[in-house]
Amino acid sequence: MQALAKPEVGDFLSKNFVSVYDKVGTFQVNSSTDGKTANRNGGNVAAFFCTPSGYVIHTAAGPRTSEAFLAEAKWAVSVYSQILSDRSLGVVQGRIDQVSRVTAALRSAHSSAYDLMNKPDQVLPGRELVLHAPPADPKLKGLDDAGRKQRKQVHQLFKTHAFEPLAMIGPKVYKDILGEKVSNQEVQLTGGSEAKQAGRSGQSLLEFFEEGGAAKASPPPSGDPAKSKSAPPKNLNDTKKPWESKNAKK
Amino acid sequence: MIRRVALPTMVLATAAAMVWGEDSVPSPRSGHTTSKPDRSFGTALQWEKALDSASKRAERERKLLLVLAVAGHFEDPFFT
Repeated sequence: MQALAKPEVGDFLSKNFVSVYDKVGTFQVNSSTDGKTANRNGGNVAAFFCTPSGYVIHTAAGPRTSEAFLAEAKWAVSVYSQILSDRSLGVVQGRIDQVSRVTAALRSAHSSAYDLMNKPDQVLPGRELVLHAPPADPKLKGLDDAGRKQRKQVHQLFKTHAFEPLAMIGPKVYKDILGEKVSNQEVQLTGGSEAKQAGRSGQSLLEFFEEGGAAKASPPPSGDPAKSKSAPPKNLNDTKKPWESKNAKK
Repeated sequence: MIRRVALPTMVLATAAAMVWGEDSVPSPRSGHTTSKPDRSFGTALQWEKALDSASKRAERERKLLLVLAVAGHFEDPFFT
């Protein structure tokens, strides 16, 4: 991901996030006619900004320019920090109520961002993190346009699904927004030795998501997030990971 | 996800991995290798090996968690 090679992006992510990656299986690598260089079929990326326990705050679905990716990462941090710093949160009785409040506030923030992207003439706090600056390189305009479209789809989806476990929202983002097929197949390689050498198998995204016991135990919530007790964490310090289950392979 | 990385960069990275070993980087002070693994994979940040350890570290350091789901070979910049 080219955006991740930019120092300013790396600095912000290192300061605010612990990063980890996972592989998706539906991806083909073929050798070219000269048998040396490899060609790719498919391939995509989604960056999930989560709590330490794996509840998704925001997602950058699809490739991004560095300007766009940094704006989305900052938006996620800013919105979540503001929600947690809300003084009224501390007086709410019970952790389930706290989580409901956070979930509702986060979904409201996504709703506001979605509205702002549809009506960009609005003047709102944090506007620059939703309507980020265009890329410095004009050649990246197509990528930037596609990214804005995908971001709008994410905000729309997260109006009702923000703060769900990664195991639950991950496949939905990957399939519905990116149009990718998530499978447990390993990366397929055909052709030259260089291509084969480059291919290393790893855990598929499906395996990763399937280890989410929380997702398998309950259906996705809908409607009023405050009434949903299945998907969001039971408390903000919940140490149970969405990808952990009693049946998970060790 | 299209990523174009100049061939010399890949060659250098491969050579460095061969010289220093896949999981070690040279110490800028001593010139010797250190035990701290280089897991940047051509990005400007380090990547945890597993979700579990990433989650625990995020809790310990009071940070958020970034999970990048990639279709392709993340470790090789050419493929991601």
